[in-house]
Amino acid sequence: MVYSNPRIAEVDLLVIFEGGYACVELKRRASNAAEDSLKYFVAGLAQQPVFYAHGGSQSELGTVHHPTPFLVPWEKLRQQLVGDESQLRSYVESVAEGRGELFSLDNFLRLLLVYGSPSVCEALLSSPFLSKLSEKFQLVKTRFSQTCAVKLIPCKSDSQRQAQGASGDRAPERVERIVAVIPTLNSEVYQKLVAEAIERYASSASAREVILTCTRRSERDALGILEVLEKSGRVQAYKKVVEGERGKDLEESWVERIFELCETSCAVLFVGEVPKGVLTKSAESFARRERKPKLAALVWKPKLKPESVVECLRAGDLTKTEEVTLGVVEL
Amino acid sequence: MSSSSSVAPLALKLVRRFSPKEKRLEGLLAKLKGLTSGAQWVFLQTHGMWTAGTEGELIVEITQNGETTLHIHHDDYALVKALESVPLFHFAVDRLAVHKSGGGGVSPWGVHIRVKRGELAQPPSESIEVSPLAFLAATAGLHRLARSYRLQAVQSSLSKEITAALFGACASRYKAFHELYCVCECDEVLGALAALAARTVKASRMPEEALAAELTTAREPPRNICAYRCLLEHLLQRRKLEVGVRRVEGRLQLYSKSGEGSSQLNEVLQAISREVLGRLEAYQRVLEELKGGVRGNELKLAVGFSEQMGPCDLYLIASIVELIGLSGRVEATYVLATPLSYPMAAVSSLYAALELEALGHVELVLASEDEAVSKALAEHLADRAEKSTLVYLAAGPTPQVLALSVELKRHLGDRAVLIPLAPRPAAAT
Repeated sequence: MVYSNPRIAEVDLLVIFEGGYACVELKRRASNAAEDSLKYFVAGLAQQPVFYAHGGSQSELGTVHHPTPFLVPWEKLRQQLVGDESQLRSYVESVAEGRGELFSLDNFLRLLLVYGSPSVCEALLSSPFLSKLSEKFQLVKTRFSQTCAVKLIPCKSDSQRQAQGASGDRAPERVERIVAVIPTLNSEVYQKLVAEAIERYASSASAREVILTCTRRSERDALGILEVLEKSGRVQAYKKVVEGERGKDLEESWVERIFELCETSCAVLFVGEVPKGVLTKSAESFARRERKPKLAALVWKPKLKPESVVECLRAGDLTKTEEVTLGVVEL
Repeated sequence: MSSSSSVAPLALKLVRRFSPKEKRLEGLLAKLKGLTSGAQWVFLQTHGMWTAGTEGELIVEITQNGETTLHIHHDDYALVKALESVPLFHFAVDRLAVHKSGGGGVSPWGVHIRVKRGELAQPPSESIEVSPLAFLAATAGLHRLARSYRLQAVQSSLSKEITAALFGACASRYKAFHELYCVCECDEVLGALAALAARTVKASRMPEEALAAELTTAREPPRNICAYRCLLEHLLQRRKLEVGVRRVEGRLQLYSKSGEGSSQLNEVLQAISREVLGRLEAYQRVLEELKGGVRGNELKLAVGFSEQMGPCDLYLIASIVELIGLSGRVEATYVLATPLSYPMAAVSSLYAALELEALGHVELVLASEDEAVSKALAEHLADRAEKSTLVYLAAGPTPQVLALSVELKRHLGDRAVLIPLAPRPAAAT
């Protein structure tokens, strides 16, 4: 999780130079400047320069009992670091778009930029598959060139063909029914989060009903989700417990039942840690079918609004952290 | 196992020897120039960072209440810097003790603040040597990846026993991970089990919120705490242990090979067997399905490398390939890492490239659970497969397994063979 939860190593602003980077920690008041110094130590960033900026006026510095050499008014620092706002806006927009699509990989590449040793970065960035991804996705290409600049690695991406922008979030196609595959979730917290994600998906795909398929082991989790869905009442939801049938194992029975429930227009939504046998058998069954349902899975996604990032930078308010939510990806 | 109020800590020393097969090392080191420095490297978690060790020793002490102390020498300044640079990710020990060979009590000015605060101490008089994997297991934090490292260390130390129990075969001709370091197997097992027991005892005191913050449904709260506590006490008292693995009613089970006090110890080992070895029962299914018929003379393997997997998994796969006579047919093995499994996948694929010839050319591929990346990966693997049959051993995050399975079938049709890395469920009667 250290790699996929960006809040652990959250930095207000990372300023990238040729050969290094600096962190900027922004506080509303000058007197609060150094309160996060422990965070930088814990996140392993203590060896890097940290600039503290405050959103108040220059005169406020007079009230600081222990000013640090790097404490500056945000307005001054913003002018020097951020520069042209339209450029910043277009950068944030392009990153936000790609980040929604490549959240997990982007978190890794960002941590690689901060923590990776130059030799590890060089070995990874030249690996065939990652090179291919940098040709395919603009965000990966951007991260590559940033990492190369910070680690002083010769960058090959300039000679490569133009990478594609992210395809962005597509609106899901309309479906009548969602068949959700519910394994054990190990936590009641997730029952509510999953139910909310299913509800959002049902609403955006205009689905009229949701069928939660589960086994005896995961029935409790399915009931928890069902309860939340019934309470909100926005979609009709049912639960179906799959039992092993004579001569078949539970995986086979579960997959058969899933596809039996897919009639006209339908989406199969896989939630959490679905048994791998169910996934591979579903893929095989899917490949054989003429009328194919939609296949979808739940993943963590960022809730990043580019306009609010630019607005926060302008106003000197970087107190908000990036939120994550469970979202649906359709294959 | 008698209860004792105070037992001396167990000290694990990081081994410095490294002896893979010369020929394979030569080629690989040329490729990994900069990643490894000579034969001595310290395995760190962060993005597979390695650094050359110096003359000093790294020792971790494990106490009865599950706490750990890292002993480090003053002169290892570069190593100290490397270790301290990212404290979030590795060496999450409870205490740090600093040694000085020449006596005196003052830390050099340049040493990091945590070292300055570290207690100046004498190194433990007795220690056992363990591989970097068992050492990592003892020093890693309490997050779920660290727990996986500890299970991997135990599994890896018992690779040969597990192979024999699973497949009823003699041990494979390959060296297990720790054997590359010429570590005594008993010591490796002892160190890995002590690391697992100690950190489980410690983790049982973790608050619920910390578990929830991992944002996953894959983590289960620690179980069998009493058994782990008994095991730790036994290991610290006896300082030696001979553990075997056997199959009882289809399940893998740990047992004590020594007679003395074995009935109580066996109860404890039995209690933790499912947690430690249960996942590996999946390889029986892999064996059956591969044996059942994979068409084509040329095979390529794509191994989904989940965060629970380690060197033992690749050892088992190589053993299966040998056992059913596929070794000449496997041209390449792609180890498909995710951001979470990347460090262990990097080390495991390095091990496989050095030792496990049956897997052919071994390549580490970093991917992620993002749907766009999985689609690109399927395309990449389909290109690489050319005319071969691609066997995908499915493990990892649900979105990745689903997308890869569907896309590989779409690209390769019957030439894509999907085998889940999960135990075969029983058929209903």
